[in-house]
Amino acid sequence: MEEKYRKILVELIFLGLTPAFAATINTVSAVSMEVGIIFIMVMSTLTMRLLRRFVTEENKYFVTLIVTTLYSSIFQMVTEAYFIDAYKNIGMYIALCSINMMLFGVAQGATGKEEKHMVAKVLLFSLIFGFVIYFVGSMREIMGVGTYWGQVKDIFGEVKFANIPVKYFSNHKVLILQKAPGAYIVGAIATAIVAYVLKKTAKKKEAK
Amino acid sequence: MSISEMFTVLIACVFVNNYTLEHFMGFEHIASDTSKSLKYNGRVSLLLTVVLLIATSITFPLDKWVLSNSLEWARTLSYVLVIAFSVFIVEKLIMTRTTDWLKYDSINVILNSVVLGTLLLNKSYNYDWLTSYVAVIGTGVGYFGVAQVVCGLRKRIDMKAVPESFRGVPIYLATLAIISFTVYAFA
Repeated sequence: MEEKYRKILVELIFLGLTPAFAATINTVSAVSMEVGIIFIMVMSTLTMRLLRRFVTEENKYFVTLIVTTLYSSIFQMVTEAYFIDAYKNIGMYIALCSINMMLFGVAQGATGKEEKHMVAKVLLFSLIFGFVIYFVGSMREIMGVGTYWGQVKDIFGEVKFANIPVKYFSNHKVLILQKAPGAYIVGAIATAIVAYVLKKTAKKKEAK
Repeated sequence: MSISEMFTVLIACVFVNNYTLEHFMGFEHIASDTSKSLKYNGRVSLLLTVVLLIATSITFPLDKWVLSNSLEWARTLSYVLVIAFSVFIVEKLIMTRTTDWLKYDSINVILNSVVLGTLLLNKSYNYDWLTSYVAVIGTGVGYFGVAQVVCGLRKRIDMKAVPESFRGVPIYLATLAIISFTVYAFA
């Protein structure tokens, strides 16, 4: 992967983080939002691909806006009807997916020239984005509340210090991670990991 | 709402409950801005506030008399259309007359999540019409403050030797974390 595309990929992830960060307060919410974003991204890309003959330079912004808003409204309604617990946490932020720059950009890109394996590329990108959200959500829950998927789990097991059992993260929580600054901190680490992995894979490919 | 409560809402929107830092709205626009100009960021904040004021004037009666009558499912779509209409009005009335004042693509205003987010949050907090305006002004001032600080810091960060994996987006997120800490201290 070229240096330019690596930077674009990381910046594209960054542009999509607004609704995602708000939903990363725990793993369940993060995964719900991840599913929603993947659904909106893939469906709006497919729809824009089908509509590309009717989309002109003048109306492309408007059509893309309507399509992304439509799918985010569908996802919002489905979540409200069947997943009430998840809706309480992420309800309002699903609406923000309709004007998400990442989703908008990907959907609008589908009206451009013919590209090979476009849906597969969108799916791969959404999985990378999904990793970032999942990482942020799980870290904030494990270290901030001491639970994982809503259940108490000590990821280090029972560590003894001077014969006194210390339960990391279930008894000693990093409370700031549950607040807004925590999302930025873990988000910075997650995007740095993605940038590092992409760089390493690019170097390996070059070496071959 | 009394005057003191409105003042509380104003202060909350600027500091304690800053929509940009506490609700993650519009931070990607601030951090991905390439102009690195304080004046430009100030003008963008003013433009967003004007759009928000116009949008609030339309969405509040629309929500009260139309959408609340079993049309809640259409809220997001109607809000997005109202924002697009507000941006269109601003573009026609102001931007065409003062072309040199701010060269900013109107789609960026519509896609700025602080606009839709503020309208939705004002609705979820059940603010009345006047308080919604106060919250909008507070949001504009809060956005302006964060934009100025991040813009000033970006100039300095880009000159420093940051580790390669942290260069760009990760270091901006870390910067936002530190700014968010300071705002969190007000709570």
